[in-house]
Amino acid sequence: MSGQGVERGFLLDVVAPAGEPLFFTWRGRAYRVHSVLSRWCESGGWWQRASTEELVHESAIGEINDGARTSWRVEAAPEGALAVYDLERDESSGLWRITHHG
Amino acid sequence: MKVRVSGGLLIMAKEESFIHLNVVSGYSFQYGTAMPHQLVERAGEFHMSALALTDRDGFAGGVRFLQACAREGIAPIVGSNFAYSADGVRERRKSPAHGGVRVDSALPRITLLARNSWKGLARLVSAIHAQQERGAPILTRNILQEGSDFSILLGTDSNVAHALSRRRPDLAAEYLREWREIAGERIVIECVSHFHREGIQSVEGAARMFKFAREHQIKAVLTNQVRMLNKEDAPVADVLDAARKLVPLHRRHVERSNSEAYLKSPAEMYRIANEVARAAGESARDLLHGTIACGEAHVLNPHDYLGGIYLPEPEVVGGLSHGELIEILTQRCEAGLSWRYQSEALRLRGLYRLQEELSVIKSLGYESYFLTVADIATMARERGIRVAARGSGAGSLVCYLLGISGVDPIDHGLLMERFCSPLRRDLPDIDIDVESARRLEIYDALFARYAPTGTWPAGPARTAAVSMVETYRARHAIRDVGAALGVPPADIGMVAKSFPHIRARSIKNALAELPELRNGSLQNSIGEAKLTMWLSLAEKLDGLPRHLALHPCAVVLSDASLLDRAPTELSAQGYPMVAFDKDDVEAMGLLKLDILGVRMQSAMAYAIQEIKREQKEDVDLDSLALDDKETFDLIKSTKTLGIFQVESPGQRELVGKFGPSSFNDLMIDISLFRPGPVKSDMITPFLKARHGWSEAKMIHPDLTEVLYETEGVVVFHEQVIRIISIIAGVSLAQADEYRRALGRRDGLTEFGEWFIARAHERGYSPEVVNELWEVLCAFGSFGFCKAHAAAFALTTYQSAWLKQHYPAPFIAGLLTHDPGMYPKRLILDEARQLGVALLPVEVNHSDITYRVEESDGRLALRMSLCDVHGMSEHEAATIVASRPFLDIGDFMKRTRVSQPTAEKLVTIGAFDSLYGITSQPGQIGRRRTLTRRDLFLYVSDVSKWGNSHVDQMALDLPAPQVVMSGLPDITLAERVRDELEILGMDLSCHVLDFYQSFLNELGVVPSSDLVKQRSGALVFVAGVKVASQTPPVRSGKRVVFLTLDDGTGCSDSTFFDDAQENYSYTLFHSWLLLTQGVVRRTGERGVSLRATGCWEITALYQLWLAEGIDAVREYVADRPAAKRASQRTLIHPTGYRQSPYADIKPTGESLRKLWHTSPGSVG
Repeated sequence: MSGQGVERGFLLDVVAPAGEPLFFTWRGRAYRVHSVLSRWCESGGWWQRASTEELVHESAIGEINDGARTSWRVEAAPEGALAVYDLERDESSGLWRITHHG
Repeated sequence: MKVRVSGGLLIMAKEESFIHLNVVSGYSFQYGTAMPHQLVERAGEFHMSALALTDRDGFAGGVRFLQACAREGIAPIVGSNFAYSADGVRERRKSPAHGGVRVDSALPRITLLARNSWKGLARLVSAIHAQQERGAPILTRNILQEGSDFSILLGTDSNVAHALSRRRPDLAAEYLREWREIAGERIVIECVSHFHREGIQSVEGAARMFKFAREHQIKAVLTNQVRMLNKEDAPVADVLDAARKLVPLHRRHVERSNSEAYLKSPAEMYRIANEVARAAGESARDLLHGTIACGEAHVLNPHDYLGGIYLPEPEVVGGLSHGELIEILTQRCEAGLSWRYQSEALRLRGLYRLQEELSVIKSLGYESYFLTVADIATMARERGIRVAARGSGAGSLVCYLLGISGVDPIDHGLLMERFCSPLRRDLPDIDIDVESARRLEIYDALFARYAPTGTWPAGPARTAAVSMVETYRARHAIRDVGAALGVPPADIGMVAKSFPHIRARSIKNALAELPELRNGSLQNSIGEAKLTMWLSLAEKLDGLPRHLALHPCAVVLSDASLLDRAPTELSAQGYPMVAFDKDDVEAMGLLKLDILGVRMQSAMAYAIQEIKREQKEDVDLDSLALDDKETFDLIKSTKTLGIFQVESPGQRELVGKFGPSSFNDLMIDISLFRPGPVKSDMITPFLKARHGWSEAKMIHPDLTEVLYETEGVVVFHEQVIRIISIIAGVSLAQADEYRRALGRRDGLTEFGEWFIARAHERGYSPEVVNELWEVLCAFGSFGFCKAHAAAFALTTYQSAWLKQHYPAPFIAGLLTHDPGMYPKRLILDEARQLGVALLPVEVNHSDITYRVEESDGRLALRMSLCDVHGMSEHEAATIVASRPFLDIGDFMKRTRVSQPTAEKLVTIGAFDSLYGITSQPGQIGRRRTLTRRDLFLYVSDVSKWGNSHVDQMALDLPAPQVVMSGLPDITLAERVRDELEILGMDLSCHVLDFYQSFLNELGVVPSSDLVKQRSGALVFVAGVKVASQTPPVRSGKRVVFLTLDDGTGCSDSTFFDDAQENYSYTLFHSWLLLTQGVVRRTGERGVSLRATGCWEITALYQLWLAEGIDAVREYVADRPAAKRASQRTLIHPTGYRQSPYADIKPTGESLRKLWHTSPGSVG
């Protein structure tokens, strides 16, 4: 599901006061979101992490992390050239990533 | 396509509402994760005006949904979701894991919403289930076309959506044309955005649906295809998907790709509407208004379904009009007066009461009700099936006169008002007990009369069985979650079985609290983290419905509108069954009748049959005088094993202390042995007064008449009713209403204020009033209905009478129908103690049932073929039909019984007499003396020869001969072991006999000598476990009662908290037990032990053999200090304290029923 040639681990600073991203900073540059092209949500597969340390800790308190994340496909630009970016928010940690651009 | 979903202002109309039209609950079995009332309550929080419930394959949750809606003031919309195939052909995919049949079919699914009434939908559900195999109903075009009072929602699982999803608008239009042919304007397109990245449930997909609807001028609605209450429930949905499909969790088997299918708020739905409309280039307002308008058009009135009364029409019970019914009922009751009462005075007394009762019945319009129930009781009697009323129905003289019940309510002070009163609108409850073995004959007769062939599912059927919702409890939840997580089956079984039969939500508490689970062994073998996750998930399945099952005894009776009111399906047993449970049908005003199969009735019927066959005597149990001294002497002796209601260890203790000597005493005894009396400690003051150790307190002279029979202690509901009636000066019917209020916390305060004020007003002193009020409060709702006690006591008396006067036939009945709580081996022991000889299984003599035979001039009991392990009913029947046999070869040739079964028969001596084997066990075989061992070898020879003989006829081998091997015969120990293995009973001698020398050396006290021990002595008892029970007790802590049998009788030990700590595992999982405890005298004949420890005998025996008695003494003296776990106590509204593990089946399982592990009932 992640796009090719994308730095999956790269965390973004995103301004999204009502959930919808308005600005973000990536590779040291500030981007303004011009419009949201689409949005989707994904989750599931919690059972696959059943053996990892991560889940060991979570399950100890009986809460299951279902890996929920919301993606926003936006048109954004630092200045001038408009391009399409996929921003993904991990719903449990609140961290944002870029999953696709170009 | 580039879709712009944002960039402008959202239309956020917060003040407006939304109606969810596609919502499934847990009643979409193993699919939805929330219960109807939870969904309705959430809709209430969202201020929604209406809510739909559209469960899969029917609407089994319909009544609960309506009730919740009525409570919350929300308008209900009822629908259902079905797999659709125009011609009913299903696509079958095999599941690789289970060769599966129950794989979700790949058929499209559509949702129907009932319009005006759910009648059409109910009929449609019945029609679908009538046409197809159980479990996988498919809606076909033919069925769909028959109804019209519903709309059809084409959602994301419809063929239209499938076509649009594949970007085939042409195909979608073609499908739509077909739908319009079927349902015209009743077609609605359903748009769903679950924020998928792509496909028909993405924003863009929903927009495609919306645009398609617009283009074809079809109504469009927005739904959320709800299957969860909260986003967080998604893992539960995954587990249900896996459990339903019988596969482990995998992306492929899970139906969701995110967690959006929850009951969203109006604001969230508006946002979706905006995005979808924008993407479609249409108006969000239109979509929302269309949705709300569609919802409003399908709203039902809950009161059309709740609270009415629909009894069979007059013509069904023999009248032409309602007026005629009154006449018929009056005539039949008057005829009953002459039948039941021999003297004129009694008839007059009866007539007076009868007129009162009839006027109440008339005012309520229940004539048809009584005549219908009488009709069913008559049906049973005509077939020679024993029948008895149970419950409050026995309080009505009409029931007695119509032959529904067998106890005279006037003689025993029973009240009609407790059963049926003009102040209560709910139908009175009559339950009837019938012979368990012939229960289905009554079902057949009932269906033949009230739902004859051809009336289901399309005609005016008036009866159906009632269903029962099987819900997730601890063990099932653990099994299904374990399987979903891919845990190996052996581990799943191990974890599931280690829990008692508790609610799923209590799993973790049990793990922390129960001594047998706290030792960490589960954590060690499964892994702590995995176990924790597994059990947390299992807890979340708590109470979710798994499937509908046939209720074990309830049927519903109604007028001809039954199938308009309730969806039905065919039960596995072939009876039409309404998809609602018994509370539901009661709420709908349908007459519910419990036809309970009671094994004791079968056992007694069998005993009477044996008396007739062997002794040529006719016994009529129903006309016995209820004052036989010998019968009461038997009960008082506490040798009550096998007697109805009084055989449990607790009851044996109670009858020992009480000594009931009249029928009224039996009613009191049965009523005292209930949680309520135990809780309010009625037993002690009652017994003290009864034995003259203290004076009976009548509280006030006005109440003497009411309280006299129970020594001033309030035992019966009927007494409470009379007390309230006398003190407050109200009618009995009114008083019963107040009695009911006593059981409700809110009612209690209100009633208390009224009662106290009223009593003062009527001049009762404050002391009397306070005392009365205390008594009434303590009584709570737990007292016992005397009518019910009377109905029970009658069976108690009848069974005791049979045991006293016809012990052999009675024991034959017990062994054949197994009515009691004890294993059959204990009943055999009882037979020995009663002097009834036991004859072994013999192929030429044994029957399918236990027969009484004359042997050496007295009655003896012949063991039956039915308890031979592994013998099929068919094999047993063939054996009986092919008798007599000449030898083993003849037997095997003509019965074709399998070799293992034949070997088992040889092993337990079923051929001994044919071969003249009389040798004592263990004897060295002399030449020319046959032994069972020789016969055993011979069976295998015959079997081989038989096979080759068939295969190769030409060879014509000579038949084998029995050879005397000269090998030693099996020992007595081996013989008893074989008997236990094959029959589940130790026939030749008591199994404990083998340990006797060890037990003697240890100084173990035989059960029969316990009564001679002084109170407070510390003693050992030993025995075979026959029962372990965890009944509710007063302190609210779990208490385990253990009953051991050592051949001289039974001993009872009680394990409190401290003793359970170290010994509960042994207690639940062993069979031969040594218990140490402190003697407690409980009455003249009553004695029990407070256990301080228990051990498995064979282990101690080995230790004794190896190291001697001192090692054993040292071993049992060394006990680890008890670690206490705090256990929770449940406190009921009335203040009654109960352990959460009381009344729950304990852990531990046995292959054969060698002991009773109880659901704990104190009865």
